[in-house]
Amino acid sequence: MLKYILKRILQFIPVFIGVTVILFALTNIVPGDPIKLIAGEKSLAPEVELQLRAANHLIKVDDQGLPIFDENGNTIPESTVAQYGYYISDLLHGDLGESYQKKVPVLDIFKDKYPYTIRLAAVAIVIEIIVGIGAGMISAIKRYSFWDVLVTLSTSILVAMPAFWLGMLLQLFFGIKLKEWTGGGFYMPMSGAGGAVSEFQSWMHYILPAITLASVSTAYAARIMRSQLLETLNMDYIRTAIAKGLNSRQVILKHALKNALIPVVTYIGIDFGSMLSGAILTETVFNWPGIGYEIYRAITMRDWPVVMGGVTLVVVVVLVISLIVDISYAFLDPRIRYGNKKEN
Amino acid sequence: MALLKKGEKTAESQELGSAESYSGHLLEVDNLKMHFHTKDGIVKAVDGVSYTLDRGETLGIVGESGSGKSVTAMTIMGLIKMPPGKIEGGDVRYKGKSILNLPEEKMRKLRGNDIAMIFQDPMSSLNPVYKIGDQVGEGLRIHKGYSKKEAKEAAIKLLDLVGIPNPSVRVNEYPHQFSGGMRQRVMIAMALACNPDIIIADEPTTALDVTIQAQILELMVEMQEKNGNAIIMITHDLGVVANMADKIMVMYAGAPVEYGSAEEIFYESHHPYTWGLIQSIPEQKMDEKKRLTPIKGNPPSLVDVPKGCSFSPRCPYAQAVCFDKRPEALYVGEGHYCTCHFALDNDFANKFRPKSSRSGDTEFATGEQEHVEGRA
Ligand SMILES: Nc1ncnc2c1ncn2[C@@H]1O[C@H](COP(=O)(O)OP(=O)(O)OP(=O)(O)O)[C@@H](O)[C@H]1O
Ligand code: SF4
Ligand SMILES: [Mg+2]
Repeated sequence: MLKYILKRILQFIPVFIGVTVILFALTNIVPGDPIKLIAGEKSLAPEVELQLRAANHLIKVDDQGLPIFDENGNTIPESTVAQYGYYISDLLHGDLGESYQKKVPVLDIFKDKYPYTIRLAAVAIVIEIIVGIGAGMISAIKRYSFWDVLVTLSTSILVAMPAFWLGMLLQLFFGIKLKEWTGGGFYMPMSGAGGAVSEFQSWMHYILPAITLASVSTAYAARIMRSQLLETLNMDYIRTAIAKGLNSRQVILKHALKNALIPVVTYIGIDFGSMLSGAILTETVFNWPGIGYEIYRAITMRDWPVVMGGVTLVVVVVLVISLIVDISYAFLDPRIRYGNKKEN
Repeated sequence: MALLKKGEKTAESQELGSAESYSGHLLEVDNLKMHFHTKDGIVKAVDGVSYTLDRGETLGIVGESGSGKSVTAMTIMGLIKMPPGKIEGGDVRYKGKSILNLPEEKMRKLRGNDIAMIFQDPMSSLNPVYKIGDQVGEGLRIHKGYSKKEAKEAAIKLLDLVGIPNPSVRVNEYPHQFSGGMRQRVMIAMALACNPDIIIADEPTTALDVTIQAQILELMVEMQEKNGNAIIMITHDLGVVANMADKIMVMYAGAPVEYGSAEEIFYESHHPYTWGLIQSIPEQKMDEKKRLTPIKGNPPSLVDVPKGCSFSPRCPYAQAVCFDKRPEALYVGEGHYCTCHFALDNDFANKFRPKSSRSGDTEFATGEQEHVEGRA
């Protein structure tokens, strides 16, 4: 098992290199002089511009970080490969650069924003686990019943419905209409993650965005759960369990559920990874101060360090989550305990 | 068996009468009919099966694929989903009491505890995500109230009993770490756990290779000698039950065509289908280059069983009457019946019955003889 984890971590390296190369190439291909982006509308004094170019490794510098000039007194542009080298070395030192617009270290921006994304993802995943698995189970156990039809129908609707639209509908009903109907007595917060000025308990801010974020994947989780449980209940070992004298609760909870959960856990785990990568749509609709919204902002503003830093961070998170999912998978299914030999 | 002292049965089985106090048959299946109502019509999977089973006895149920053997067994265990299944008649009595309409809760107390079942495919009949020990000991936990620790200890003993080497280690392993033969041993251990009166084995060796098959059958006989449980051995191969069954029921198209003691079936059979089965037993002795004679044709669809004798389309001796009239079960000896119009016609049997089908198999003849006398 330990060997397997180590192997998986080593496999991160090529993925990491690939991602950084692509990111680096993309930001270099997109037209626009970074110095202009940093400067914005202002025009810079030549010395300042020179300094900036040196600091951003766009021109060759000496040991003291001062620009090197050629015999004509011009700066020497840094080679792309060397630029990538600087980028990687900074990255490995935990330096993601500085936001062009905000003029603060990218790392600080994400330190500030990430907790909101994590908390939103956590609430959403709890909804997904409870509602998704629960609805799927009920639907499978009470097959063809009213509840089954209800679950099948509502999951179809949720899957077909774009999440941002659901978010807007929720805002409309629970934020605006409910406020009108109750004469302002009761309604849900529609945006932001609370704060000092908010009249709401901070957790209330999570409800609508979390439901929105969880909606589609909860529907999928319920469907996977349903079909897996139905399939598992047809297995020979379920018949063995019944023949042993177990009651249906024991058969389902002890013998069927663990087997049926394996694919569901994989799905939910991977989904959690993608939620942690920042839900751009949900965060935008709800004006949520998370990393999805931040990356979205950075892309529109061509704030490359933020984009690169954000995407790098997201890639690392997804890799780690997928490793955790694989490990938990092995925990559920002894057949794939990594490194176990088949005996006899 | 060492795990349970005599009399250590659950309240439910006492309610049903203990074996000591009940003098009748352990199990009586009486004209049982189980039909499936499907969109293609009514599948008469079991259509009038009768037999009795006594303590320590082995009944072989033999028939081709689709003849209703499994459905018969599953009906007794209450494992058939209804609908589509429907009991159209008959009864199943365990220790004299009908168990066909027993409430689910009481039926559960019987399953695994009084009547246990071993299934055909050991590869898929064990839960892949639970330890062998948990699965073997589970019955003891639910029926006998064993603690987790006690159940595990019992499981180790059971695994040892069925000949699994190193049981205290293997008890913690998972099914995928066992070979097919070892898994079937686990299934046997699981069936034996609660010391049931009856073990129904549904083709327990079909999925295994020949040498392992023999070992498993031997093990079942050995366990039976130790525990005194009755066995219903379901197979499509008459050869499998040759050395272990006391009684044999030959099934065809959902109904028994011949039923009698093992000797009667092998040496004095009266039904052409039984003869066909006997001729298709592979001869173990290679010196006699005897030809295997397969039964030609296919069994009828159970939705649309022929009007007369169900075997008539394939029977080489069929006469006009066979296509017209369904034969009754005719007793050709005490407890030996045969559903053929010519069952009582001794000339017919003498003329067509295969000559001593298992000639040279003296071990069978003598061994079986002793067995029968010993019990009588
Ligand atoms: N749930 C069901 N619905 C409809 N038909 C069924 C059902 N279960 C079994 N049958 C039918 O009942 C008939 C008898 O099946 P059964 O499994 O008892 O045969 P078998 O003698 O055990 O054969 P095999 O040797 O292949 O195991 C088959 O024709 C089968 O198609
Ligand atoms: S009744 Fe006729 S068809 Fe049926 S087995 Fe006997 S001889 Fe053959
Ligand atoms: Mg079968």
